[in-house]
Amino acid sequence: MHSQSAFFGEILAYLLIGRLLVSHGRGGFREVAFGLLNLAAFRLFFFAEEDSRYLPTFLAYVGLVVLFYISLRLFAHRKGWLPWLAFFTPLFFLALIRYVPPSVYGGPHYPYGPFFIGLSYLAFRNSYLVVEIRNGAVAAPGFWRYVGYSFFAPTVSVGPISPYQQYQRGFAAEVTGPPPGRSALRLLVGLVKYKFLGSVLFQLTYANFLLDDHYHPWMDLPVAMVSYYLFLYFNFSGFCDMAIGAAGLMGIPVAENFNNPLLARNMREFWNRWHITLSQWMRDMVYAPLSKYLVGWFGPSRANHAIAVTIALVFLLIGVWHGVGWNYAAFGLAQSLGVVAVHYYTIFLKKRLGRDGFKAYNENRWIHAVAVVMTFCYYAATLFLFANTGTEMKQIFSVLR
Amino acid sequence: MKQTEVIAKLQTIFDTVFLEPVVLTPVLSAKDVPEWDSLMHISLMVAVEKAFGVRFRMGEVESTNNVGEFANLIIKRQLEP
Repeated sequence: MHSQSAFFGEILAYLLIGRLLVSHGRGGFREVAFGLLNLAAFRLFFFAEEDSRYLPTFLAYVGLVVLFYISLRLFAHRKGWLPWLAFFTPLFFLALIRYVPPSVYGGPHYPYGPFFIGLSYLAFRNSYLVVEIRNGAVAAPGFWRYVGYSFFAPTVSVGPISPYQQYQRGFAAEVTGPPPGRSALRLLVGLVKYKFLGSVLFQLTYANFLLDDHYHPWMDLPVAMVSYYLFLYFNFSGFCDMAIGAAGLMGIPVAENFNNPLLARNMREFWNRWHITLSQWMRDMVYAPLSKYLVGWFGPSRANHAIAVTIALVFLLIGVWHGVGWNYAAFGLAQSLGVVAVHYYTIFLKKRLGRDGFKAYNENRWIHAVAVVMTFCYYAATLFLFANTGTEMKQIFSVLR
Repeated sequence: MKQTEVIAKLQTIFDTVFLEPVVLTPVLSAKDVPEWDSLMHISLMVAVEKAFGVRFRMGEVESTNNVGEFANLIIKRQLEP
């Protein structure tokens, strides 16, 4: 286990070498070097601990990416249904590794599922690339460019799920990224959110605040709920800020993942402001095609219900994407409930108030303020399902008096 | 079809789908139209596919940034066999 100062030194070296390669490297040398740099960084930052399972898992991970690339080159540009083979290959392995116990397909020495850090993000990024190629938005990348994109260190572990179309702009002849000073500031802001604010609020989350072998008054439950929500926001958005800032220092643009979600006025707006890249992936890959199909099946007169069913399924998927366990599915269903409620409430308001009344309703500041508070509280409450297993939930309720 | 012709035809579809009048320009995007939510978007796509006799691929409409790019996409799909 190496020291923090050595770790920061490694990160700095990675950023400097990355910047030099992206801005001054040329041709095949740049592609190979940048791909190898990110592969080495992935190994060093995430698989360097002394655990016998790390090296085989790292090698299996690299093997998976090679397999994804082969399927992409073989099928992504073809006509008909063949591109779907390339699209579903990363998703198939994601489902296999995350949701199928290793004992089903291998022995006890098989690479351990949770060690596949960032696999959900990798699978979603790489499957989306197939669609970008199929739709003519980008050309298929060379192997080393693909390796660099797959293992891009700033975004490999927790995203954002930034599309290849954006990533490749960093390698264009004209520099399009933000100024280095702004990227450095973004990285610093992220560090403060992640390391300081997130760490402070972590003390008041369920595990540290409620499960401390003491009884607690019921009032402590909403305190933990709000604290967990804020901890998660600062932790996740802070990490994304660091990722965007670090990538920006190398001149590579990364998609934004948060847009003031604490100020969302309803759950539909919330999911357009929180984990934006996941929402956009689900919108493009699941919501749009499924809702079109269901609207056609239900008929135009029942389009509202078709959309509601689609919303429910999409958020159930979002729930299970986050983790293995009934609590994640329940979390997804809670999101479904919130967004479907907004869907029907909006339809009700439009019919009840008419065009001008609906506009006035949306522009009323008091209604807006109440809606923001209600949305904040609703999402904080649903995170109880996300943050705790069934056993932990029982423990929490047992210490409340 | 040219882009201007496609946008003129799209205008008739928008006039049917949206309650508030929406004046289409090549640079108009969904963010500029408050009424353009997920329900409206799907209703719009179904109506556009029917009116132009095209079928959009997964993700390609969502990757367009404005009405102009959307019109170009429709032209591209119409030219496909």
